[in-house]
Amino acid sequence: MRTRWVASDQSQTYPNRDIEIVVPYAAGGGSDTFARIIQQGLQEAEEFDQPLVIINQPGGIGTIGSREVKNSQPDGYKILCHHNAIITAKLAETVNYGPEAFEPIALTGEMSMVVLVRADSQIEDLQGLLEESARSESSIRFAANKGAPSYYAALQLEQSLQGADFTIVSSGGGADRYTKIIGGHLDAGIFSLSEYLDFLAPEGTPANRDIRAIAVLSPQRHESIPDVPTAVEAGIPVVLRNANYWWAPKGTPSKIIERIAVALENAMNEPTVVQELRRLRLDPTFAVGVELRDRLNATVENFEKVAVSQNVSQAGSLPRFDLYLGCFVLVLFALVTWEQIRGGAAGKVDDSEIQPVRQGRGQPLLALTAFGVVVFHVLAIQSGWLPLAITLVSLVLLLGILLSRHVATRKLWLVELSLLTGFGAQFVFSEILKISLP
Amino acid sequence: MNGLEEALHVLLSPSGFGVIMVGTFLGITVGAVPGLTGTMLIALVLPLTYGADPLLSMTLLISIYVGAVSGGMITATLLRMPGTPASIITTLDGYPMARSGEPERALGLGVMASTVGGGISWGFLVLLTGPIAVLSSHFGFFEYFSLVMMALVLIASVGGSSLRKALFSGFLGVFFAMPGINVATGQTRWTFGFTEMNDGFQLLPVLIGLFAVNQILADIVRIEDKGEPVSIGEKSLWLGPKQWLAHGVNLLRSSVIGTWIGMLPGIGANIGSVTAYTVAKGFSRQPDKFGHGSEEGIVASEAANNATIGGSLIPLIAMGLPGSVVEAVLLGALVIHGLQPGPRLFSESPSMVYTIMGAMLLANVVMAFMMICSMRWLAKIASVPKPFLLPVILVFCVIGSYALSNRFFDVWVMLAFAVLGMTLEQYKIPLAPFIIGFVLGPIAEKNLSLGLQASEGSFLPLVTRPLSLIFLVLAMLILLFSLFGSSVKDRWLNRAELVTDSGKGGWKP
Repeated sequence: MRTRWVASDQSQTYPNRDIEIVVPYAAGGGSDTFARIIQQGLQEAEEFDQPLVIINQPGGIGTIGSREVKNSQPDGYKILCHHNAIITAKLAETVNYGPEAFEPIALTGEMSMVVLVRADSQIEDLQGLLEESARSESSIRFAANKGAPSYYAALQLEQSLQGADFTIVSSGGGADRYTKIIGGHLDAGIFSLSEYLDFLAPEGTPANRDIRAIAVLSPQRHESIPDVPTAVEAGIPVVLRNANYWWAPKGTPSKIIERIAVALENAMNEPTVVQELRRLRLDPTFAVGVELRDRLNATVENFEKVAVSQNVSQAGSLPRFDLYLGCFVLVLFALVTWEQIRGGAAGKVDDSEIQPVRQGRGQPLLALTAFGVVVFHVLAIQSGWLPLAITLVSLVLLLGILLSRHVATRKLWLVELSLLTGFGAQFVFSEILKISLP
Repeated sequence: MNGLEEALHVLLSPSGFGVIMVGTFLGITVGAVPGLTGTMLIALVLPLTYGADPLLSMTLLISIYVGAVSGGMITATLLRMPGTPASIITTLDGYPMARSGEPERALGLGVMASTVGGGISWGFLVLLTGPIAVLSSHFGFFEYFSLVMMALVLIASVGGSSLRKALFSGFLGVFFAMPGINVATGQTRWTFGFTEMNDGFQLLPVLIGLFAVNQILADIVRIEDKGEPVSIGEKSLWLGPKQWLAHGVNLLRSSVIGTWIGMLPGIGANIGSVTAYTVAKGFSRQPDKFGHGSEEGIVASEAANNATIGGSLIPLIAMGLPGSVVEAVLLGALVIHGLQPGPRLFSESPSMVYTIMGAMLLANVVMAFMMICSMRWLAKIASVPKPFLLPVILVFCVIGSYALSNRFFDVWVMLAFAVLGMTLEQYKIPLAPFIIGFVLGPIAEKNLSLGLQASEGSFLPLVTRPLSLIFLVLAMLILLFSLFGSSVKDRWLNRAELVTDSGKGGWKP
């Protein structure tokens, strides 16, 4: 009973402190740019009187950040902005949880995807691409990242024509894939609409240095590329748009979810947001509640259907380079150890760096103590025993005193310096550089 | 030309120029302080630029780089303690000359050589990057793999006197890059059940641990070491055009050597200066003066170490392959700002390419100006007491690692790699191959895996594609040469040992 009381109380006063928006990708990337536009929209619409802080937690195809939110307090103060990769991360077995581990708040904005080939390719349309891949004597090397949404779209395309068979190559970011297609190392690939328009070469470029979209994987043609047909038009029922969703941890009170959803809807209607999204070629779709859940379920179902066949066909396809490497490192380690044991038997001159004024063995114990002091302070910061600035002051002061026993130093200056570093670092990082500190 | 205009606009704006001044100054200072390296500063400044404008961020990093490689000669000349490993060779002649009453001349020669070396390698950077980028856009997966293999063998073989140790270090680096997500399959591996490991070890914490924290601990061990300082007088550091001409051939030769050595992956400024010094001695009419205050020696060392900057930026921009440890950090910086170095960078973000090039040139000029005008002052800063300096840097190490992705895991990774770095150095295993392996390994694996996916499991393209075959054959030759051509190598090494008193310089850039 107590938890419910707390929950309802919270949703009345929500928000009464900073709301953290976790973006599971690096600052400056597409997801980050999108989240920052919405953040600004929320601030312009004055939806919350509390600051919204964006926290970038990149890594693991978005799973480092998504796990952070999944495991956080379900109180609406830490929410996640993440796209379809949250679904595919589970299917690819990167993590063992998918959208079901969160409360979806809203769908905001969708990116159209296009299938493209090099501009001088013989392939005219999607049907042609599939037929070409079905012919036994040829293979279509298709760029799509394993574990990412584009991979599942490629699988869906493959399954839409009996016998079609792509050689799917995961080839990293958009720029990488583009280079490989231009260089003739890959034949076709799935790109986002904004990547396609960015990569399109200026008029007059020879066809072997340019790319051409053969289909857009949206329900309708896109206004910015009206000549490119949809896959559906070509009779291939594949629809995939990369949608941006907002997620809260499971168990977040529904009042808070609704509150954030309303705020997001208003932010999406802000003129600056509309304009910025248009610039990014994002369609300003918006969905909440039942519609949102339906769309999510449909996407999950689509991906799961093709994922089953994928896991069978993929098993054991690549050599285990990591294991070979491990063995090689062990062999080298044995060699080096052997060399070490034999010592200077080879008669080689000691090849250390020049340190002309070395005296004695130095102070290894001092270094060890200093390292211990650092480890202790990191522990202190992590567990939050004292405010960050105070802990940093103590770190600088302790180390300074430790070292100044060996080098004559003014102690008072040390005190001044430690205060300056501790509080200065706190100020510079959190206020000027906007990095969220522990 | 639009990119060029944008780059000029950024570089010549008050804030752009301010960033160059600040960066160069910081670089010179850090370079001059023995025990602090440019790599350390660049790794620590990188987190500060996450939220900043990408062009300004790169301008700052490049300026620090230029300053740091140059600043090392101040303490090398005046204290006989090289500020950075890049200036180890400068101590050999700079300090004797300073002791004999000509500290201004020794520093003046160094500044002149650094400026010319930087300028000439800048010329190569501008001329060669474009064509190489076009060439590398024809590289497929197999070509990249073979190229990276060649690079890995190269760093190991040219690196230290022990091929085995360098190879071990390099492949240990590759090994530590394995945990996390396998790009080719999208699945995780080697995480030992720790979900924090899903993304493996990030470059920045590893780098800060190996090159900053480890270095600071080493400094603490050596905290009681002192140099015998030479103070400089009022004489100007400026040398007239006559001097420039007198050293013209040496300047040109050393700069070209530095540039080419810089272009080779994984080989930093110190190897560049050793090589140029050895060659200069071979060509000199007074080889016996080398090591006792030879002007040619200072010029060769300083021209070459600055020339490696331009050289090592070429493969970074054109192919996305780091030429040295600093380039590995710059690669990370570009990726963090959403840019992928490589042939695409030219068309995707020409302004970034021009900004990098322009920043290098301007920082070079600013560096010369600062060194000539305020050498006495800079020499004072270089002797700030360690108890003030080291604790503050440690604070930045902790915050910098944390800020990468707002988690403590990275801080622990940093501390763990500091311990690993100490252990490796204890056994005289060089650290630079480790970090290059750490960066290049995943690139090699990714390209081979994807190549195999594209060729449906066939390894044949490795040898049937001409460029790939050439790289592999070269790699084999280099490996065989360094394993069995030991007599040749020993002779070369002995020469280097003769000139450097106790073997080749350290590995740290």
